[in-house]
Amino acid sequence: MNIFVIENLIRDVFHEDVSNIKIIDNRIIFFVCYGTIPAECWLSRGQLEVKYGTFGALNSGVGDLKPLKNDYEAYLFKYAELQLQALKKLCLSILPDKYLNLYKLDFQITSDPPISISDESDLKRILQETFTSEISNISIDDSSIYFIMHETICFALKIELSKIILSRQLIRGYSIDLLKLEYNKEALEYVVMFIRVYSDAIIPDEWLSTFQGK
Amino acid sequence: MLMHLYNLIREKFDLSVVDVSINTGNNSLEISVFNSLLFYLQFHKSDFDIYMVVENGTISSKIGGREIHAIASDAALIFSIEYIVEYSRLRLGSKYFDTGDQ
Repeated sequence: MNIFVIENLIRDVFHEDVSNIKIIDNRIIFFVCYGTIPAECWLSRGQLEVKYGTFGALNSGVGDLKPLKNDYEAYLFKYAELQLQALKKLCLSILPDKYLNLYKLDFQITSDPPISISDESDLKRILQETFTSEISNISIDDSSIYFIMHETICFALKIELSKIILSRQLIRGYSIDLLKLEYNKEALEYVVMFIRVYSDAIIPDEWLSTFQGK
Repeated sequence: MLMHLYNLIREKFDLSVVDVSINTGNNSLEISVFNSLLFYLQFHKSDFDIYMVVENGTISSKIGGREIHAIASDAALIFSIEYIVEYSRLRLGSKYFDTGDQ
């Protein structure tokens, strides 16, 4: 069994729930559920090791399994399949249904934009004024604005050439672009609305009602 | 004192709920809750702070809108750990506990 077999197995197990699969230094890096959760796997003496990243930690996958068959190659393959199925189940259980459903709707935002943005220099102030207690750790570095929503979800907002790019910032420097739009007033308004809808969707209702009164 | 806090957590909390390890280099405990959320307890001379690791791997002092700072007593430690366990339970959501193997 080699890493390319595992790459195919990932596609078979996750189907549409996997994206951005890359092989780097005999490790497979991929993202689960619309780029929401980064994961890494690699072969160690033929056995698949899995880690996934949530909440700032790269956690281990499922625990050790006992050999199922005398055929060691078949066992290793079955073990790898079980590891990946367990990872998929875990990722789907971490993400609220409202978040998964929102992606199926392709983030249709119907409410009116609540704010007016005059130019990009206003952005940090506007983020603070719009999100008040929902936003924290705002910093500007390398022409990007970094901030955290609901204490755990990390974003970066960058205006580059004529584009405005919103990305999620994940563990180990991984990031995934969420939006890339032509930069104009309407685009900024859409981005602000998107941040609100996305953040409220990915956080469980019980957390929002307890800590944000929503 | 750090070892005492470590032993207290080990004694009071189930390993499947709270796992803890010592980092003597910077006088802190690394606390994993439900094997998902990660916190650091930074011990000072007679008190401690707890920080949460956020999605990009940096730490945040805000946990449920408040900062956790307390005198290092058994009662304060247990109260603080119970707080972050409840915080983690809410952050992971009921779906996680209903549908997973956790």
